[in-house]
Amino acid sequence: MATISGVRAVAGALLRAQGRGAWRTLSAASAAPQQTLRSQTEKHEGMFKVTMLPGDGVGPELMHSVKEVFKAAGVPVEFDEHHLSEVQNMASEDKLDEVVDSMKQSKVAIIGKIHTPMEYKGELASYDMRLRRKLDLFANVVHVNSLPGFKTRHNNLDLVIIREQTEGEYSSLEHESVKGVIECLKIITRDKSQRIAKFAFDYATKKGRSKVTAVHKANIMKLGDGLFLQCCEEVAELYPKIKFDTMIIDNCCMQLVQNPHQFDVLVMPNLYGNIIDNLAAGLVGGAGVVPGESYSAEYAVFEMGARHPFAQAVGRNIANPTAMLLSAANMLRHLNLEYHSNVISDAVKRVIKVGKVRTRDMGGYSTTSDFIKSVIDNLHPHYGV
Amino acid sequence: MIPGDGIGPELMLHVKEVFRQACVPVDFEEVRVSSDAAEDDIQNAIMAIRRNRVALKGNIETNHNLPPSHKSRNNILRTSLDLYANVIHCQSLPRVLTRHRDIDILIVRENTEGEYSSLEHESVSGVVECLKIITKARSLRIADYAFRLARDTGRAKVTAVHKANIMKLGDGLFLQCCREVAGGYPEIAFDSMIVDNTTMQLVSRPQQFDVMVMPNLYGNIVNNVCAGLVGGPGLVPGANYGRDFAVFETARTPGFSPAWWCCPRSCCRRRSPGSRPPPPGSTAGRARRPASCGGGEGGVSDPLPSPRPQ
Repeated sequence: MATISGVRAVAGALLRAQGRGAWRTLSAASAAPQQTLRSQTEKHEGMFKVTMLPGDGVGPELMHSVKEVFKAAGVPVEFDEHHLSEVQNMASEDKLDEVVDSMKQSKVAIIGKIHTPMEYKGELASYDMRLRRKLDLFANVVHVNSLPGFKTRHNNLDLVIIREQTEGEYSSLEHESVKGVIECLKIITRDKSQRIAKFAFDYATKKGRSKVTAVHKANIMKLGDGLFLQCCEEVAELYPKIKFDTMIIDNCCMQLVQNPHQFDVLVMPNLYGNIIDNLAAGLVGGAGVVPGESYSAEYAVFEMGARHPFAQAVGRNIANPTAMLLSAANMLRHLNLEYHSNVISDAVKRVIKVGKVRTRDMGGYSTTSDFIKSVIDNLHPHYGV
Repeated sequence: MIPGDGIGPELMLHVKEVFRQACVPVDFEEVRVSSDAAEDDIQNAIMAIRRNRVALKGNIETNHNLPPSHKSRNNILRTSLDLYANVIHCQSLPRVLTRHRDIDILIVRENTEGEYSSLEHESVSGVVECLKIITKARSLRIADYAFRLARDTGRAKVTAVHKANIMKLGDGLFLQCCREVAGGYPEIAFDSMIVDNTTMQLVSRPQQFDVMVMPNLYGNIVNNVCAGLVGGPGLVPGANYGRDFAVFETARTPGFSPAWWCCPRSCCRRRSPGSRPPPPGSTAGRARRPASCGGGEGGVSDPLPSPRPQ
């Protein structure tokens, strides 16, 4: 009886929210930019407008690679660049507002990592977090896929990690109540937990996935993660065809290291998501090969799966552009440019499969430029045949 | 001896058997604590540990469906006895086939504060706040413990794991304390790494780590990742040290089904690292030798943990 009323309550809340326009399924999210972009294409001669934030570290180099490949493939995308960087002192509220305005027009963005300095300079929330909160990018999706032809310790992995991105441990609420004692607040809300759970199940349904696993630490954080778990369970009842499972974060990490093939879709709060993203990226080859995306009800942002500025590689031409290129291909698919998306992702996969040109993190000796040149050569469908 | 729940009692039987055969001069005082028992049980256990100063413990399950007022038994034990350092030694054992080789990491984890403070409240309906506490005194204490341990065991590097780019004040304080203590041990190299990068490095190149020190939650996660790397929780001994007491247990993992995972090697090995409060060194050596011989032959009938669910 309790479950039926629970389900009714959730369904009622979801319908009301949809009426308010706050939530949208993935298909609606991808259809909406198409409608707005269609009106824009009449103005811009068939070019799609995309906001670009190169970020810090190797971000600018990787963005350059993306632009080169797009030019060679003849992709009808025009980039609107903004430079927002906290470590290079190019960040301010005005810049943030500029970026948000640009996003309001283009709805789609491709970004590098905006690095957060370690020192406390008077602001607890980093610009990266503030941007995500302003755009309400609540869901971060990282699709961890083993690349064909690149052997790692685990092969044929196919996981999706969905992470709540706006609350949890990243609330940036800290204070020193007594000298020498610091309290950090972790916030979990019912609304956001339900939202991310529904997103996860919708994603699983759309992509034909069979299982969703919620990752939590409710044995220790009984109220907080307990609430998250409860919301996931309520939403799971609306999707009887998808199996729902829960697992504690420490056990999940161990299982990922020993037997990652048991997982399909994982959903979790912010900090655990960050750790598991990076762990899973390490399983298939590192931060250089995993693309990621962040969604809100109105915007889509494409980026790397495991976010690291990789400052040691700046200027040395050794960064691996695979993740950025695959992410750019995902962006093209989101913009409904299927043909161009397939051309680019096939080219990248072919280069990796052949294995002659590989950057240092994948065990080869090539530079970024060599890799890009190889991808551009492979754009032609009959290259090498 | 606290057998605990799940496979605990079975493993304790095996430990007693091995000790009997090796003629180890150790007498066990058994105290039963179960997860759904009253407060008295755990208080008895704490009193017993205060008497004997050393304990061997299985995992006491925490049922997370019970109300929040029901505190985790393991947590009560740790905080009452002030067992501030949890040390886990992850070592690749010979003849155990894993994807990684030559791992030898000591993980020191702060055991009493951090995310495990159990301070949560629902301020507004539908919004829960969990507090994570970091204090200067305890951070200094755990950092000092880690460096002393590194020096005593002849290790060359200590890595502090944190997330100070997001939790600037909290983990920032932890990092600052580690740096202060590192200044007093010039012969040991000190490094720091963010927890997400750490997990990625652990999965790709775990051989770069030597001793790691970190707050409570990251410690839990890193412990489990490393245990997975060397072959599973059944092969990793762990210890909780306080100023006056020591409690030995396995790497803390919940919810394992008994039949597949009964691996007593971990219990045998964990008794040996008790180099502080007694047991005497010679008997520890005798108990350790059978355990490493068992692993070395490879033909011993322990089911090596292959992670196939039942």
